[in-house]
Amino acid sequence: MNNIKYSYMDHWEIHTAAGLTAPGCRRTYLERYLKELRALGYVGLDTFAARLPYYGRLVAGKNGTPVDFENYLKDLGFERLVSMFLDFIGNNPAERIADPACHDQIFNKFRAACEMAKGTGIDTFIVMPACQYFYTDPVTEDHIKHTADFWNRTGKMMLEDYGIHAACHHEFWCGLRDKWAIDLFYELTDPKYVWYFCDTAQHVIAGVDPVALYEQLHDRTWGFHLKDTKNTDPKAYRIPPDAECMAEDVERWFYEANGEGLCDFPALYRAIKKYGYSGWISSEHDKAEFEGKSFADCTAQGVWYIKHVLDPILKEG
Amino acid sequence: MAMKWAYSINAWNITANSARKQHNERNFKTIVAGGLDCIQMKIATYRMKPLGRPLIISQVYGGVKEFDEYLKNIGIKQIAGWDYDPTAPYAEENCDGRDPTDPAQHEGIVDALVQFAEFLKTVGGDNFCVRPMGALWRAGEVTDEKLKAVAECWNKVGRMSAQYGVKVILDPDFLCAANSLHAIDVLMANTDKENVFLAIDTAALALVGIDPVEVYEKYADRVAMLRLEQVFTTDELNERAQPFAEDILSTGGERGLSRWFWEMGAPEGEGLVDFPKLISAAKNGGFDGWCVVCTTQSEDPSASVLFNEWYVENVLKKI
Repeated sequence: MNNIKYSYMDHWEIHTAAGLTAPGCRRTYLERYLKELRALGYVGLDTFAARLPYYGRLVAGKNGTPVDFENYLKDLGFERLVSMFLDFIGNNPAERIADPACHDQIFNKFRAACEMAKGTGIDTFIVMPACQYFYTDPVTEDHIKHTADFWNRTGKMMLEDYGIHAACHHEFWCGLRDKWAIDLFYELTDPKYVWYFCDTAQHVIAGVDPVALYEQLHDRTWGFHLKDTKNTDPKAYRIPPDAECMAEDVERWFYEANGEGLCDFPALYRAIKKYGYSGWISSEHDKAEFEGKSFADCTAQGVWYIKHVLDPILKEG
Repeated sequence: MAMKWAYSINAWNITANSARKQHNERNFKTIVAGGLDCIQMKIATYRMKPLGRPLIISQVYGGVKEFDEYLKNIGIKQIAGWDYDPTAPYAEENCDGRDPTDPAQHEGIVDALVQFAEFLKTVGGDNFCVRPMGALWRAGEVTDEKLKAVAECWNKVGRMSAQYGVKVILDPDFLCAANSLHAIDVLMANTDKENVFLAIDTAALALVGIDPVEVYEKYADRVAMLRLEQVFTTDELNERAQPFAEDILSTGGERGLSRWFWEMGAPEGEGLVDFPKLISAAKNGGFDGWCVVCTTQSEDPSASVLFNEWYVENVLKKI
């Protein structure tokens, strides 16, 4: 029996008189955004490390904290903050995860992020486990070993000192994108401290089957990003400075899960049912403002698909 | 019987968001995803309104029953009824608009609505929510004689539609000549209690300085629909009486208002409508009609629908 809760990854933007903006720039926008998420049934929010302090100030004044923000969420009917996303993409040469000389600095930044989240319900950092492919190229076994060493150390600190799980989210443009590299990384990391986070679209773009990978790593899986894509990527992942934005033939990579793209969500849910996954599943669909759509419209389509197509799979037979 | 909840598809009202089948499918799914499962439709004209008439619906969806089945598969369990403005032009009826104050035009209004009543009987809907008469600025003096002619018009429609299980619900909108306490009194006094009812159009009443709760309490036994939408201001300059008053909806009038109509609980201002008070009064009055949530103006209709649905679920349904 699966016990699934749904959270929303905090990419939302809205059209305002002042232009397209994230709702966190004004209290009324934030209130609208969060109430609209609640209308759709979300009980968790996944956000970004850089946004969390700002949200605290927005709801509770200049001394507001992330805890104040979480209390505001609870007043609206959310259960809690679920996760923060952090990445070190490699543009800072002192923060290259595959380089052992950089590890102390990045480790300390993760500790600072844990301190910031302290007191909230956040029990997960969704992390990009390697820097951009561009900064990791060539991806060697040594690079992967150094990366695994970093996560064994950092994941242990996060979990033992703060109760926060390091959940690795494999962007199609990061150094750990290919199946052989992902396999080696999980062989070299400690299952107690380094967790797998299944982002359906990122894997499909990179040519990896997310359902098969989840089945392989189901006992180390600490969450999902349900998102879809309409493209795979044989080459753009190498393009600096940002493969996602620089790809010449793909303007928008990510879509809400609604059955129209390349990801096989029913197959994923059959696997989730098979292995009895219980925990959070997060909806993610950045760039939803493209093509004249709105985040509200796109998010609603995704929720409709979850309620009418995916959730019934968990209840079958 | 408990009160029933629906969303008006007026939320999506431009070619860009409602002219294509796939657009409307997204819109239906948005309503369902946010928690409501009934819709109020709107009688319309022309090819860009694929949900406006039974014939066009059949062209798009293969038939009326097929359309109803299609909606049920999406999660829309019931079409509540049709909104209807008799004064609007309908090309399919070779009609430039009909005037309910003119008895000679009543037969045309009754005849025009037969196909829509048949549609509602097929899909299980139960109401025509009608604009009783035209705009104030076009109406000239709103005399009791004119109002009695309007009442008789809707009595005729009500006798026809009752054969299909369909009520007539009078809904004086903001600009309507019948949007006053006196006009409502005359209309209620001269219409059949069995067939013709009243909608409490919260925004419309509040915009002309009338408390919707007072009107509900006065006519509790005749009210069959609450139309729920918020406003932050009244028409204090009486601009609705000025020529081409329809323009103020988009221009914002002399004050340049960004919007006249807002979502329930909108945080941008002090709403004039006390929705919890209205719903409390309705519950106490045994109201078992439709609560239709409306979005007349919005920067993002889908967001407004979800915001209103949050308010329904977390505020109104908890009363």
